Amino acid sequence: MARKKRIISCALTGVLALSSVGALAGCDALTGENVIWIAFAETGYGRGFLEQWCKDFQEKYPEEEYVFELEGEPGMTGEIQTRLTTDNEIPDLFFSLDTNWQEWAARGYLYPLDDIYRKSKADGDKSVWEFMNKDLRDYGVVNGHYYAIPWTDGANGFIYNKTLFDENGWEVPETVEELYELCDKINNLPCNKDADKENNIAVFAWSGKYASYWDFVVENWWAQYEGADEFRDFFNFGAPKNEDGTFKFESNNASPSDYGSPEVYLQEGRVKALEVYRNLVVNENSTFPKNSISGAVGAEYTVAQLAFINGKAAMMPNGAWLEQEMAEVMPDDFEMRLMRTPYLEEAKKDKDGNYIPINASSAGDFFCIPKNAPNLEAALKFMEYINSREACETFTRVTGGIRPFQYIDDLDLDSMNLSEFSKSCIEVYRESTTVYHYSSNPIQWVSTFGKWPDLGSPYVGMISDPTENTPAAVCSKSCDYVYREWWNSYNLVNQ
Amino acid sequence: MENKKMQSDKPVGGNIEVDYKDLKPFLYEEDKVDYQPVIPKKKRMATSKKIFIITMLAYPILHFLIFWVYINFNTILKSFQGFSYKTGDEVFVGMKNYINFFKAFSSESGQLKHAVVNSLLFFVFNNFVLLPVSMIFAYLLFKKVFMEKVFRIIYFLPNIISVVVLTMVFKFMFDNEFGPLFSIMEKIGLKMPENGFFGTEGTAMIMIFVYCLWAGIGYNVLLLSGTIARIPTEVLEAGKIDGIGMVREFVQIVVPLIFSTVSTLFVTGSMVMFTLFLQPMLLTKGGPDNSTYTLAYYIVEQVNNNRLYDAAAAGIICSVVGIPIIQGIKSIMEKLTPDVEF
Repeated sequence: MARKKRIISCALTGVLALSSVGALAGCDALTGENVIWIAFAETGYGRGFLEQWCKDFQEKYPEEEYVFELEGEPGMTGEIQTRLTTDNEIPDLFFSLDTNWQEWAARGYLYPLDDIYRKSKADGDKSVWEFMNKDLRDYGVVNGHYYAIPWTDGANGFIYNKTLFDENGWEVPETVEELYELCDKINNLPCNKDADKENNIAVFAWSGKYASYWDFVVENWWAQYEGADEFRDFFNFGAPKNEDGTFKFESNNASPSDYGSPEVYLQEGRVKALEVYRNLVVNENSTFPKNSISGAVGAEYTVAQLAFINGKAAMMPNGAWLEQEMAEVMPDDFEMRLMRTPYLEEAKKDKDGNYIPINASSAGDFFCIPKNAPNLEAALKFMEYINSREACETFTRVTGGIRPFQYIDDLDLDSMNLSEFSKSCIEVYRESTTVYHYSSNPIQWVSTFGKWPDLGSPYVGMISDPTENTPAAVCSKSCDYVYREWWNSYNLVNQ
Repeated sequence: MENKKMQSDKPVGGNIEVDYKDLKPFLYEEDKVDYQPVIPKKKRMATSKKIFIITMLAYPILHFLIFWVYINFNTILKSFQGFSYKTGDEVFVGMKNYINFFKAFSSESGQLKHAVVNSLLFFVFNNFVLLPVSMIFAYLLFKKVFMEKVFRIIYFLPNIISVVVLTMVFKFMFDNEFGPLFSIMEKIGLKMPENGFFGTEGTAMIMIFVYCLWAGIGYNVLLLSGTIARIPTEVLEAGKIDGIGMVREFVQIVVPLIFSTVSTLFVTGSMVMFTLFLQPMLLTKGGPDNSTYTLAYYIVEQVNNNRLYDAAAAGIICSVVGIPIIQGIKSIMEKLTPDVEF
């Protein structure tokens, strides 16, 4: 018995010793003086760009002998709040998808980046603030300080199967009317008329489980109709501004009207955009969507994307990251391009009578530095680097994606070894006025109303009950909901 | 001894002065003994023993204090709070978060209404479909049906695979574009839902139940098989001698004898009403049209959508409603469980 006890005791001691060594070794690896620990959302753009940034940074500062710990997780965004709140596993930098980072800043979890915004040399003598796209410069502000720097920008819309378009001689539609005609042509393909359903080619591949991908085109139509300024105003509830460009709600004695009004939810552009969606997808006589791959409403986005790259659909609402995301399963002979979102008939025109191309960006992903970052100095240095022109160009070269800085127009795309798809995304981005949907209005932060409050996303609802959920009704319900919640949110903001 | 005491009425001591403090009642001459009270020596506990006890108790007590007392207290506190972006502090908002919960019943999205109905359906499904089916399967395995060992592995296999992988595989099997089952069923002429099994209101929830049956049966079967195996063979043999068939053996002998395990599974199966969220989240993401939400998934979504304080209030409401229900079910099951030992 005593011998047994001794053996068990020895075994337990061994396990304890091993775990302690492991834990301490781990601590050492993550918190050394030269170690920069980056926890990032490993999603569409992968990790190749980050590895390249790290390599370039190490070469730029060889004397510092920086070592990088890269912690990539698809679900990182959901982890950050817990890690910040518990002050546990705090890395030097977080790369996150769009979320409520404003709350983290207000709680004092994030390190202010004012110096990086104003003093760093991002492009020659230009600071990060000056180098950043003008419309996004206020993105990182909470209570007068900068806490976040936007990560990605890009062009969204319909991505089309170029091979299929070329084979059938279809022109890329310029207007919504032309798009409707194209839908008819695709539906009338012989393969769609025969009894065999296996060879059908649908107009659109999309996923009902992630129906918000339709936002990538619907927002473009909405912005085309309303114009860039009105579209931007929507996300701040049309809140009035002072002469110096600051919002009136920023003052200490702001009145309810200084925060804007829920009336913005009735913007005509929203209704018009949803009408196009309805005409394209909603079947008035049944709950099955038209022009869609089979089972679209219940499909995963990966399934929809697989269907698209395997030629089962001609177009897909998506973004510039699609190529990176599907790189491993992309058929060799498959070619795709991003088209400029076809114009609404009532879209805004310039003084020459030409439609104004608008790109509603999905930007919202960001970098931030936790206040208790173990290696703050190195984190700030790396943050300064990754927002420089050099790092932005690296990002585009590796991913084909775009960062929200003023460098894209100067790029020589042919010398960058980019795919034709990436080039098409950059072309659309270059020729469009890009608008962003972030909000500086604390009522939006408190309430998280978003674009379609109380509905999640209206797209599936419009299919399952087309009579009840008309475009006008959807917008009207959104507005009613925001009206009901407005005072609660206003009171909370001012408490 | 009793009789002796009764016969002698002469008190002890005669004319000697007696210190009555020391006198014991009914103490007679014959019983005179040197009375010396034994005072137990206070043994000092060894330090190593003390450390051992403290160490053993520290972990569960700390665990209880942090993960039960603190978490619950904090949740109650949060349910009355909101966050002020201006001050960066949490502020008292009274019953607002609770009111929000009840207002959500009239929401256009219908999330909460669906969540309540589906959670109740899960109660029915778990206890009146999954559990009886598991009992039957466990009994059949006990009876050593053909390929019993293979079935045992097949049933338990889903329990050792990650639920994320399992849901993905399950979804692909029934996918309209790539799913083998979908195309087989279509080819043999069955009318398939055009929006897919997971995209049609009604079938989506059924598919979640089918998944839960497929993935959940193994665990129940494992527990029940263990209990059935403990039934004394002589009891079953006695039944056999009396000429009872399999159905009677199952209903009249096996079920009463394994009822304590069944009642435990019934109680845990009832708790699923307030805890199940992974399956709808991974299979349908609550869709189509929010029709597959459950109460737990509703709360998880609130947390994911940064409505932490609303989630706290929803959690408290579910606890207030749920605890008496679960306790009631537990008492009923305890009453129903026959008092058998074997």
